[in-house]
Amino acid sequence: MTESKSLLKIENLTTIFSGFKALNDVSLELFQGQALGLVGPNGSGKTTLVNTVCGLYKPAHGHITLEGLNITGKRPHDIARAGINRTFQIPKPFRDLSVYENVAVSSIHSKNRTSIPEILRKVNLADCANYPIEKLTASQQKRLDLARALALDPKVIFVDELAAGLTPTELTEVAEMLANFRQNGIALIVVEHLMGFLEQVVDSVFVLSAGKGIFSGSLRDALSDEEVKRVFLGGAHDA
Amino acid sequence: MPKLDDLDLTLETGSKGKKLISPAIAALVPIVAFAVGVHLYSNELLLTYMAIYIALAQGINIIYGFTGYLPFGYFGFFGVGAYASGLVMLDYNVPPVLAVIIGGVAGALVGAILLPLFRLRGAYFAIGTLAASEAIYTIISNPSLQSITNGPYGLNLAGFYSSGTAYGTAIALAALSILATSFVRSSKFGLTLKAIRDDSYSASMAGVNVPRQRFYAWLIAAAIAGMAGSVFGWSTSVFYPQAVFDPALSVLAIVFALFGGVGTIWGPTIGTVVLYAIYNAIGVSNPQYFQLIYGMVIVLLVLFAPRGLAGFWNYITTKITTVRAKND
Amino acid sequence: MLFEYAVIGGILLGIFYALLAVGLNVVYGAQKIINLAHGDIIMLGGYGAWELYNTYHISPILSTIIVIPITVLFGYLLNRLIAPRLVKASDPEMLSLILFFGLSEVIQALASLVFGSAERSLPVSSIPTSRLVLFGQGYPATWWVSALVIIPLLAIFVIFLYRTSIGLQVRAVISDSVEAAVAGINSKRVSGIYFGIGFALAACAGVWGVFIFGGVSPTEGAAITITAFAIIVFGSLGNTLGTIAAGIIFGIFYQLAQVYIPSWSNLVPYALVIATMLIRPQGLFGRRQRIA
Repeated sequence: MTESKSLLKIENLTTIFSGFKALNDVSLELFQGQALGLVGPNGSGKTTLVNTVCGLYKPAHGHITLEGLNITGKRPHDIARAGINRTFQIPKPFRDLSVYENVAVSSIHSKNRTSIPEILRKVNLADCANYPIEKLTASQQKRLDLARALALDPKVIFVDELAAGLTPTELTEVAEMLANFRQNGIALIVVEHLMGFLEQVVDSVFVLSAGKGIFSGSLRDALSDEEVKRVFLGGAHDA
Repeated sequence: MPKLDDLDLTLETGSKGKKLISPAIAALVPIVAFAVGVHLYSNELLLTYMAIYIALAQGINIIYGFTGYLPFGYFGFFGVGAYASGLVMLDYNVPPVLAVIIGGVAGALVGAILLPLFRLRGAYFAIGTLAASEAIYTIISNPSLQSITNGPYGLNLAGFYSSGTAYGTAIALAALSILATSFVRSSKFGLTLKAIRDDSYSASMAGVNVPRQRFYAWLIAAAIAGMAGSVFGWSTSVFYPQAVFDPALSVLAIVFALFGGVGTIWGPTIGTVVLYAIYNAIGVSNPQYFQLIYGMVIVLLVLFAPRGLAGFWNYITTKITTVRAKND
Repeated sequence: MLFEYAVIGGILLGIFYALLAVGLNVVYGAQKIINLAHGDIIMLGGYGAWELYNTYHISPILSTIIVIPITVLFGYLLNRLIAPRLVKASDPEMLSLILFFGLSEVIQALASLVFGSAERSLPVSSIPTSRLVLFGQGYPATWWVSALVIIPLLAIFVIFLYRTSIGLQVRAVISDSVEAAVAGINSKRVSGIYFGIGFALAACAGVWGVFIFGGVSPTEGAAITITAFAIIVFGSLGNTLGTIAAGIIFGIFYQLAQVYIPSWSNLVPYALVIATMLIRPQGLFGRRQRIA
């Protein structure tokens, strides 16, 4: 196996909300070209992790470095321009702007100035360029989120529960898109519940439970790990 | 595929416009109208005020229409501009037109000082600016500061009176504010502002430096109000602090902008012309009746026509185009 | 000497300011509406007291009670009329801000037309007049009489909110109106009633405002609204007990300013609201919200 360069390093990340530790000393490392699944039961802190790395929340402790650059606690736009981007669980397009304009907002800030039509083609939205947002289906809105993330030449994209609500055809389409992104050098962290989709997209997973990382390794090994099974499928609970 | 630079970002209909011609017309028409108007209607001071209100309404348009922040305290910049320009004229004999520019700079400076208010959202911001402006008024008009600002007794600029020039400056200011709005609207700057208004976190993940963009819009709006206040002071000659730090200035500017339609170029201009004309027809002699009417206008606007005249216009034009499309 | 006077006087006045602000807090509570016409409702309460005294010789103490049902009804009807439209809008908070601002202008204009713009006042003889002497200092009758009326009023309101079943419903609606509806509460009606109560509290404050402010005039509303807003932000938006505490603290600050830096005392509400919003936006008793 070839040596992969370390891209994103998260060390001892802790995020606290009014005394509640949503993230508790989480450490993980993402390598170039890797696709890492981020899984865990509801409330385990997956979206909090994404939000913290992407600047919406300030961590109480810990460090985040991107290719050696410390981005802990930086403002969202600096993080985005540094090369980290994301999609949203519930898509957040700019409702007053057309599809084209939505991508344009990101592309203005990109150093490489990939053409917008090119980006739209990559997510299969090329025919919808002038559509207002109301005209888009849920699946199209999710792809628009991806397009906006792409437009800023990201090194890492956090994909937040993309699969929810997609038909099997759409799922295959999107899995192919993500594979294409990887081929173009973008690393992915995929937050997902749908294991079938995850299997197609990622090489390994990181399992969160109650804000703590409890497993890191291949998806198959995760599924046979005792603690992972307990956390997902129940078992002995206190009270 | 349309190139980004050619894209005219018309809000409602999505039609593509010409980038330079449209703003030029938007600015020229009022200039010509005012130039001609003064020969038909002799009350030059009134027309001066109308031009000043156009500028204020466009300023509100820029900050509210494009960033979604509504500064109830907008009048604070107006007062600061009036005092800054008035005082440099009186104390240092600065020529009026230069003083107007200084007034704009003063407005922008105060805008920069009030920048922390942007940490607040919506209503908090609105009222925060109101409190800040009232505080500035209390300070400037305070008897303890009489030696500097003449305290509660106001300024007398009669020595600088020169009707034609003040009027011309007012028109130029109105045109400038219209061009500023056009620039904001059709530029990448305007695009980012609209994104910010929609969802500021998403905008920042798109690389937009949200605080800085809002800051620029705020500075532009503050400078416009500062210059408006300066022109007001100059053309009115004698004014008391409560006349230039009057919350009604914000109110009227907001109503005019809302009525015409915020986020558009022509909206605030037309809204000002229509409502200010009505104000002069009935309002001057019966200020309470006018207050009642524009209060009702606001209430009805919010409840039934939040996009103002421009929204109504677009509603009609879209109806016409869809009818035509059906018949083709 | 002067300091004690300022503090005790501040507490007495603070009770009035607490009532002044509570109504605004109540209206905010159910539907997050910022009532910019709050000061104007207070003004109307003042005029109501004036009319009742001058035409029917009704004591302001009684008037405080009389204005309640009228304003609750008015507030309720207004809320039922407006709330549906506001909730549907793309930006309900800003729109309600502008809407109530328009309402404020309408009320001010009508008041000017009906009552004229001259300030009116009520003679101190309309209430028990003896000065209160505490620790060797005398305090005006208006201050302690108003406090004596307002304290039970506030107490009743707090008991209503925390100890009655309707109060429980109200608090449920405040914390989440959708969930409250799911629990079987008629959220809209409860919100409407609560809104009306907010108006009533404002009107009651208005009755005593005639004495505290030295009179009532149609345009007094704006400054009062800012003061009330400063108090509720300081005491944490939405927190009733916080508002009451903040009102008293405000009264003390204001009195201290009046005594030691009189020509700048007008700055107190503005300084308070700006300082709170910038230094501790969640107010004295609130919890910090995490938004980038």
